[in-house]
Amino acid sequence: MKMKARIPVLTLLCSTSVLIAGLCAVSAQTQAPAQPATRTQTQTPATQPAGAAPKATPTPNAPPVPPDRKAYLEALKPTDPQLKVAALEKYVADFPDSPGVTSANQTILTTMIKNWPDQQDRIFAHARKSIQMAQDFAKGNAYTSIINALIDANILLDRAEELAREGLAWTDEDLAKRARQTRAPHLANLGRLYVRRGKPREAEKALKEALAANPLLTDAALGLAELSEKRKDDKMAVEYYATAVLTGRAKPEVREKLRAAYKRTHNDSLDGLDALLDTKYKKDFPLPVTVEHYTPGPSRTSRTVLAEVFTGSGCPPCVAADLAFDAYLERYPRKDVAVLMYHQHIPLPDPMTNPATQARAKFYGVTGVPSYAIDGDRTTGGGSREMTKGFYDRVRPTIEKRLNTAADADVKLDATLSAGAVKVSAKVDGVKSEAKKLRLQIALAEETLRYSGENGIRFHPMVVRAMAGEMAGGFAVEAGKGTSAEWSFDLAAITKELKAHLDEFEEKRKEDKFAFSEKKHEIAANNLVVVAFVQDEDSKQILQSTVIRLKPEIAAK
Amino acid sequence: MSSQLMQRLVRGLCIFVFLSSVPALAQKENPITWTVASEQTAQPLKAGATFKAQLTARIEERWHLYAMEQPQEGGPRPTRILVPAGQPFTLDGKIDAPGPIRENDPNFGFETDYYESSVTFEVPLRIAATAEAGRQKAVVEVRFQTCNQEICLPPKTLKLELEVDIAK
Repeated sequence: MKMKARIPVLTLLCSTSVLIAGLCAVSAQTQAPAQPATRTQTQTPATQPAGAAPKATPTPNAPPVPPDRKAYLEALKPTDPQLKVAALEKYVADFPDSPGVTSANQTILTTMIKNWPDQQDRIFAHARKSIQMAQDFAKGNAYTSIINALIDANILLDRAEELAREGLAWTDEDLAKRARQTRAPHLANLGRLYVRRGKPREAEKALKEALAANPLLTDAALGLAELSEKRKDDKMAVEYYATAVLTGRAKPEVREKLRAAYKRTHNDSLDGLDALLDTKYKKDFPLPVTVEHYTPGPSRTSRTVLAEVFTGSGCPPCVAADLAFDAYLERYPRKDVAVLMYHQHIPLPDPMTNPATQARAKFYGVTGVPSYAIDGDRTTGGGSREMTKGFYDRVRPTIEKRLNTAADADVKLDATLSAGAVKVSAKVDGVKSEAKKLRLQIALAEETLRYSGENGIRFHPMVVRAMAGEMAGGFAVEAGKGTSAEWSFDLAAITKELKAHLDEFEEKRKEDKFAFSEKKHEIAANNLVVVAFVQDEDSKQILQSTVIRLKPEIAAK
Repeated sequence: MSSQLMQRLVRGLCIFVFLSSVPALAQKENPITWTVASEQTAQPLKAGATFKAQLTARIEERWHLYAMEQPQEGGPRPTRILVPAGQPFTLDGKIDAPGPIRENDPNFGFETDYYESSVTFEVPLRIAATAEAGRQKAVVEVRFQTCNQEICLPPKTLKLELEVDIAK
């Protein structure tokens, strides 16, 4: 098994051939076309990701500078050390999880040492705080930089020694954790071999250790399920097959094995299996953020902030963003914050993607996921489950700043469900913007969809299913005047379109033998939400938004 | 130095160049660029002859190009290299790929095989015996996807063309 191992000889050979090929390529650009030695490439996109998006989308603008980076740039401007330290400390307090915080903290430390070397308690307090704030991947570096600065200044050497010992202990612990994670798949392999070779005790020990080190290790869960089956313990087989299925990476046959084992323990019935998976998911993968409900302050305005999130169920770094927006949905009532999730086939096919979500991505110029726009101000990047809290803390100030920003329009929305159609009427007035390309958009979303995708997330909130208007393009709004619009979302027609999109995607990937494990085209009438918003299509800024949740009793009619 | 230690050092350095690195990382649209070339096609080749094309991917820092085979299903989409039908060139054997890096990938929670920095694939091609003499374009298609720890980009399919002179 190779670990970060290349075959050096092959690499060298390849490098040589690259060099020679590179020479050919240079000659290709400098010689006449008739020269036979012209041997180089052209690189052209052959196909886009499957799924035709509706037309009529404006040219995307470059994404704006993220607010944390703006704040960091501002904080670096003062030349007076007092002002600089104060500005950087404010930046660190406002954006504690911004990638620039470690750098800012280091600048604060060196500024203090240079200008006020006698304020040793203050310097050490800052050093200690910097280390506490550093994210895991930067902690080792934070220890080193701080200790080096103290050694160079020849101050606080006793405390620097204390920090050096602490840094060493932290590194040992970190390395041990990483070693456990790296060992886990190998331990799972060994455990599965033990199962096959009739060594159940050894198998159980190895597999449980592997699963404890990495709860998303499908092979470890499968090994334990197989062991349980051999022991005729169907209850535990269900437990471990369920674990494997919830990772989102299990093959279709594993889902079948789960169903079979479940039936054996439930009188040949599958009733309750989804509920079991839901409960287990909530228990095994709790939201990694403690949510405190939002309390509006005196500056709260009538604005409903719109968060538009571009994500993918097969996108690992989307996890932090998805879970953070789950947390925002808990923190804020819908009159405060509306969330719309536009699923994309990035990087893997996502059965919640549709032409309307792809069109919206194109409108914003989204080139990767996760990407999110708060009232039209777009930025990108997420992370793993462990990074959820950092994401949550980082974006929350932006949302709350917008909650205190006056709305630039009034949007009234009414929606009813009858005869299989959601009939929407929206009225926009009180428009304070003079922008020339204002547009009212109306999105139909499902409040929660259940689907265990490859990134392990099972519950997907506010999944956009359709957008109103011709080519899903919304309705023009005249500056200063407003507009009224009516639209009917025909649920059967939308379901058909969603299925057609997924079928077409499979058809395009048929040579790869690709098939969705589950197609999420069915729409549940008791799960619907309508969101309306007014947007300046040039600046992308959202003037105002509003949300209506179609209540079950309305939906049931 | 261990790979993980190196990774952490790189990440640490990236923090200190926050001013320039973050937006670049977040907005990167093409962190992997491809070229195709061949030493053997510098001279005309006969119909029915074989030659090798080198497909080189340049991979920007902190991005991964996933290998053509993966140790576990349910992970990233493997890179695929194809020679499309409808041209006087066919694939003539196994594509030679250097050994990838195998490492626990925090994105997926298990080991993946990937390349970083750059990689060259050797693609063996055969000219059809019935190929017409003159200059022809050999088309090689590459399908790949890439992620880093913060963002995933859409899967891409690129067609790379190499001019080949077929002797009379």
